[in-house]
Amino acid sequence: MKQHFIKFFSSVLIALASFFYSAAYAADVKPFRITMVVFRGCEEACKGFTDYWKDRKIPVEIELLDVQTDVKKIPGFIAQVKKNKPDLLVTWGTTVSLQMLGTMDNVDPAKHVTDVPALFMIASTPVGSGLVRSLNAPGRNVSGTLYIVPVETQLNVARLYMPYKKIGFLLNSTEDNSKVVIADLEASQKKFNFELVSRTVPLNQAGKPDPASLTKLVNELADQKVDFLYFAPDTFLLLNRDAITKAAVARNLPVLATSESVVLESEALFGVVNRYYTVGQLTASKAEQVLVNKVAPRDIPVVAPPGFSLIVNMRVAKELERYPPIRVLKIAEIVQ
Amino acid sequence: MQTAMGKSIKPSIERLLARKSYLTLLLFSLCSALILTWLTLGNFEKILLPQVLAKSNVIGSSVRTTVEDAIKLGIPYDSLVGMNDFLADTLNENPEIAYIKVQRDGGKEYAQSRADASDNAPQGIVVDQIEASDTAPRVIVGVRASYIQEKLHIMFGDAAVVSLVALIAGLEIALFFSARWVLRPIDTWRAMIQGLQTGQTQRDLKKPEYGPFADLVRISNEKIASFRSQMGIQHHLDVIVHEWYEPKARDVRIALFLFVFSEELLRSFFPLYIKSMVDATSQLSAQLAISAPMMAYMLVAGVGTLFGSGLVEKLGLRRAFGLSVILSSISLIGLAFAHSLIEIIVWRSAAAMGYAVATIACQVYIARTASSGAANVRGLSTFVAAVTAACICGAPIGAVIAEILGQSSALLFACAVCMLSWMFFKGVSLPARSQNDMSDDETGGVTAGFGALLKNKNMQLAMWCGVMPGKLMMAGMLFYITPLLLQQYQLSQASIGQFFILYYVLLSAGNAIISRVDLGIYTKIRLVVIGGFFSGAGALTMYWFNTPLALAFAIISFGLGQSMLLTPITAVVLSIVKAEMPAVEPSRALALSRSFERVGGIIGAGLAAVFSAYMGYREATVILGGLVIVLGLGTVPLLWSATKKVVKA
Repeated sequence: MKQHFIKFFSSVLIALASFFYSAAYAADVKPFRITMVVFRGCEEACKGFTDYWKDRKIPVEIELLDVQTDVKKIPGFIAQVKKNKPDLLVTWGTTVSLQMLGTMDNVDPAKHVTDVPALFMIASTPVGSGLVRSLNAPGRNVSGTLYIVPVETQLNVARLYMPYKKIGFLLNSTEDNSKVVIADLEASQKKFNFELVSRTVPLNQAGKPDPASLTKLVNELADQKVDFLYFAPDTFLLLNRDAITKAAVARNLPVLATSESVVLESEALFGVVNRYYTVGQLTASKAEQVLVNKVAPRDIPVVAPPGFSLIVNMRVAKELERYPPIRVLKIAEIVQ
Repeated sequence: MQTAMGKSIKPSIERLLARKSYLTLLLFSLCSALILTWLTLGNFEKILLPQVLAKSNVIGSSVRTTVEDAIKLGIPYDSLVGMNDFLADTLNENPEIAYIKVQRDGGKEYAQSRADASDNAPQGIVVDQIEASDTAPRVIVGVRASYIQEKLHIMFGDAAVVSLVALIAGLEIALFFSARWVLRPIDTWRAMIQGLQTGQTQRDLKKPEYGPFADLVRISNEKIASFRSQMGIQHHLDVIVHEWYEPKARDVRIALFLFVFSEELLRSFFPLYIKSMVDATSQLSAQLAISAPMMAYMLVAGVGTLFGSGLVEKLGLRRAFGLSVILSSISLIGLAFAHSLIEIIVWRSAAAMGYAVATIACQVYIARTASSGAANVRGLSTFVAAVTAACICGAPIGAVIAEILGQSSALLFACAVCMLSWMFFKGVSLPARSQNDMSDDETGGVTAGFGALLKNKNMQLAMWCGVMPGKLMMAGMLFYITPLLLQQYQLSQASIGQFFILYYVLLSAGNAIISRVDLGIYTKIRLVVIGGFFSGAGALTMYWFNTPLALAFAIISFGLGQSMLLTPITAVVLSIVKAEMPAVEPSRALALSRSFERVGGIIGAGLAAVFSAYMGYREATVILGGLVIVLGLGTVPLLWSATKKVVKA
């Protein structure tokens, strides 16, 4: 009896001590300061990142700097970050990440943020674009997450939806993402038994890819009777996704999207993607490692979320009369 | 019982009792287990049939819901894509369903049925109809009422196999203990344990140890003998006056059983193990990669058989067996942790050498324990019984372990069994070398007489067309194709293991029957011809039927053919030697026969790999079957030419 009483009493004491310690800690701990630089507002990945902290009940202050698709704002944000010195910098998209953080071979402490731990998200090819040296060992105090589903997986899933022999591709020669993806597709031609038909986006007088040429290029691919257009995860193409997908639908040409916005917000028929929200949450979990567990970003591998989503745009499917097979319906996420 | 010399052997009373007890126990236990299983399964049928019908209704409703969802998403009913694939998936996942139809008034009908069932043959099919609604189509599901029966038959077969294997393995172990404990004095048992600890066995003791139990047995025997002589009963039973410490052939039985068992454990899953590894690491064609270790094994085992006896002579029995166990154990551990095809080939070659030396060591042990020709035959039958029991038990037990614990764990289990065999071998008393026990040097080397044998046309016919095709089929169809083809049929690992038992049970039963019948040489050759035909004939059915049942039939036919052929072909080979090459030692012909068996194994594995790579497993089986029939027909001339000489001789 005496022993039971001692056990009970000590349990109560331990519970009370834990409660008061947690309360004191919560009141005392300062929230972590995170600066997030986004390209076009706080979209799904940004929301996923923000919600993560609420779910985990970890106090953070997130400062959101929105480029609003105007890259000229970025140098100002760099200066702001250098001045404020947040606990963590998070960048959204390849363009923002490269301009804020520089590349492995081209980083200048005067022009780039180098003295704040940084994580990137929604960067298509972080190794190819030089953000990190390798996925397992980033090589500097920068890490991040992947969001593009591997090309082989995309091709396998595409074959579930429709048979194909010819795939069309729009190449933006000014971006590394485009070049990396077309190389992957070319390497997969033999294994998946298809022919890759590509058209390079011409440059305008300013040396930038010409948006006016996109409809013509899509028509050319349609004339080549490609089975679908592979929409590469490229900033220029993503900015012009409406024009491209509308032109494709007008020619009864399905589009396979590799970013969710192309199928959710434009007129791609289907997409094999990682949901941005999931990617945002994964990035936040990496941020927790940096802020709470004090792991340096250089020691955090760059990883993708497990699994992927197959999204079918039923509105486009009806318009093209390319309905998803029943097998696909059973695994796909349908949007209207 | 007949010896090779034709003299009858008088079985001892203990042997007679042991054999009868063994068979009675086996039959009684097996029959009671099977009757009990049959009755239980009969009750299951009554319970399960309504459940299956209810399940099919749920499946039909699920199909209807899926189609309804697609329609609600805006896909027109007549434009549904991939319905055939979807319905085919449903059939594959639910083997009890014979066909499934989706209908809508005024619309398309989507339907899928099994190849062997349709609504044109409605016998035994229960039709379940889920009615249409405004948004959903009508779904008709045809359920095979015989499905439950089929499943229960399979379960009964499983129970039979498990009971048989468990009983044989159990009796094998029981035999060891009965030989050691019941039929021998307790001190011998104690001495064996001491021998394990000190290396000094009963035979090495200056004075043999006798215990009260030994006296009891001795007195009983003397009383029985005295009673029989007083009564004037004429009998052919030996009066047992044993020197208990003398080594006997059966002493080595458990060690041999365990050693062979450790090798046979791999039988059902080894090709699958290689295949999974090759898929991951090698660019080689999977088929060729699977055959390479098998061919290496056969080759090294063949060489080991030729030179193994020399090694056993040189090292001595205990060391030779120990070396075999070390080789086999290391190879099994190596296989469990292998990462490449080269490693597998190396480890299998080591295991083959171990196997060859161990089996020769056991044969030499048995030969040395024999006090007479009759005892030698009895000893060799112990050898055959132990090997057969291990073959029957190995594949199914290995398959179950591989399924439950994984293939690598099964290999490690085999290694443990192999090491256990050494413990038992270490404990036996070693027999002295007899005068008749000549080394190869004394008999003119390992290859002496082979030249003369190979020059003889009849011997060549017997080897190429009688001996070799069986092993060709065994390595090609049974060891190589069977596991892979059954995996293709989506059978479980445990079921794959049970297919092997068909062959070994038929072989041992057939052998036992044929070896007890006194046949003339002409009949024996006829049996060889017919056996050759049966060995391959079953495989031809796979040309028409691509089912596990057809493969089972092929294996049964092969087992039947080989059981008809194996004993007679040995007799024919020995007769040819005696009639046409009297100067050649008969043992040379038997050694040549073993070598041709290995050659057959190598060719079989190679051909199976090539045919499988280019045509598929099923087609490869058919071709191997045809080839074995054609080769088997080569023994027909023996009926005309050799038979006359042999009979004359």
